[in-house]
Amino acid sequence: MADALQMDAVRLAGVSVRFGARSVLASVELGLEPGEALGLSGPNGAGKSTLLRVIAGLLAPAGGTVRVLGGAPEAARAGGLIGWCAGGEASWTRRLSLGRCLAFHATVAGLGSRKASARIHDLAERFGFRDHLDLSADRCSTGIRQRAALARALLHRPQIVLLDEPLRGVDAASRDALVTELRDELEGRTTIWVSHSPAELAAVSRRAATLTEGVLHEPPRLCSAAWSAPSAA
Amino acid sequence: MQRRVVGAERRVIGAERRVVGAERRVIGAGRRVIGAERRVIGLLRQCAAVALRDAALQRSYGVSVALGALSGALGLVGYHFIGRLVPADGSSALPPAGYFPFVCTGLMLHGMVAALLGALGGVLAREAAEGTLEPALASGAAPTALLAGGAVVPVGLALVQALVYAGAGSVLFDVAWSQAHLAVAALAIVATLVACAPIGLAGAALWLVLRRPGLVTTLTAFAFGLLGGVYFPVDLLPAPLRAIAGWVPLALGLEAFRGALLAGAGVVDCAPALLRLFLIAALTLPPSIWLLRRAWRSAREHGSLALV
Repeated sequence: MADALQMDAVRLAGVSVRFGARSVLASVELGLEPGEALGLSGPNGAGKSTLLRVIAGLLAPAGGTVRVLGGAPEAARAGGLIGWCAGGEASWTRRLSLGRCLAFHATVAGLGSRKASARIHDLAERFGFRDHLDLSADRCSTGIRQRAALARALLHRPQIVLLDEPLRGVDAASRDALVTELRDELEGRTTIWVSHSPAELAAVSRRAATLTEGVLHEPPRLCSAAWSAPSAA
Repeated sequence: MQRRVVGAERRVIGAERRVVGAERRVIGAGRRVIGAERRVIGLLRQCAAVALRDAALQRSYGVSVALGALSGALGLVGYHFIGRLVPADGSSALPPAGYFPFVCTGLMLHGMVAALLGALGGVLAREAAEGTLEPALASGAAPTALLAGGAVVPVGLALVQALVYAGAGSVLFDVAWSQAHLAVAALAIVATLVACAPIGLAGAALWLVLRRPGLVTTLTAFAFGLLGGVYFPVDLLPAPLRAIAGWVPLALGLEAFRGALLAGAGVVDCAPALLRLFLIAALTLPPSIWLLRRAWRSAREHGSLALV
């Protein structure tokens, strides 16, 4: 057990979360090795976003233990080791340009201005919103803001990446290209990818789990779940 | 002979080990200092990032910010005429400078205090309403940086407005600042803001628990209006209220601030008020920080950190 705690990038043991009388997560057990990717699905209200918030240190569980890279999730978050993307379309200082908002997050995460600028332009190019960097967030479409939210989560090259429906709002025509870019960017990072699309999850991870009414169900693993050769989404 | 040599060698080795142990302790202490320095630098960098973002946000509003400062200065005109009703012959509780300089200086410091309280008590609510609180935290922003950095621009704008007041008072209404002791006035501003900060932190804690922004700001606006000495001298209050006003940070701050600006009072003259302000800060900062931490932990446990 001690070895497992040391080896795992993410380890949840008996994690439970309650909102009032309602149980949102019930004794969740989960371990992710460094570089491993997990595709997580489940019905609405099953607790997927809550699980990501717990791992990101934004929500303290009522019971159980959470270790991220061997320490408390808050420490990992404060240390810039976590990238988190959820509800990206409505999480911007709306009067500021996407580029200015991303520069703020890059500075907060500890990137110098030159590195931040280069990284922002690189990700904007690859994720398909370079032409929108100078536009204020409230003038950008939902899909563009979502792409920028993905860039925001990955700006500081975090070791743990938590993506909550990362392709929400992204047009179907450019999804495959974006998934390919994301796969490249996520190579070697421990990732949890939440989606309602089985095809999307199959394209990004060999390991899959389902969350239903706060209970995590995972089929037995037969092979390594790290990132593998790209396949179509 | 050989035993003595061996004994001496052992003593040398023991001494060397002690030196190595001491060196390691020094290195460990040095690393801890460097770690603390890095954390402080990181926090300051984050504060600066928040302040620069807020400044950019203010710039996006264009001339409306300047118009806000100007409209405040125009509000002074009314006090000028009210001041004509009050005799400045030393028969009232007013300082010799008269009513208008009294209320002008009161508004200058009150503006900065109100900006600080509004910022500290409202920055988390604003970030949550915008949807930027959780992304900022996920990027590694410390709550302290969001609070402190979020107060920089509002207090800075209030300082600019105070300067506009001072300029308008001098140009339009012949207020003489020639004998002002600016360094002591600046010290009074800092001491007042530090002594008022716990109220703002308590406001942030209350928002985290009750989700109702502005509660503390509203309460303090009433208390400061009555007991702060902005619009009339606290000497006019009944004795019980006057005693309370003696511990209201704004009233104490104004005592030193007005003394420095209108009477050229030095540090020694203002020391009683300044010391009382620092005492208030020393007594109220730790419990307000504790309260905020408790509220933060509670919000994380209830999953309500980013709820509006």
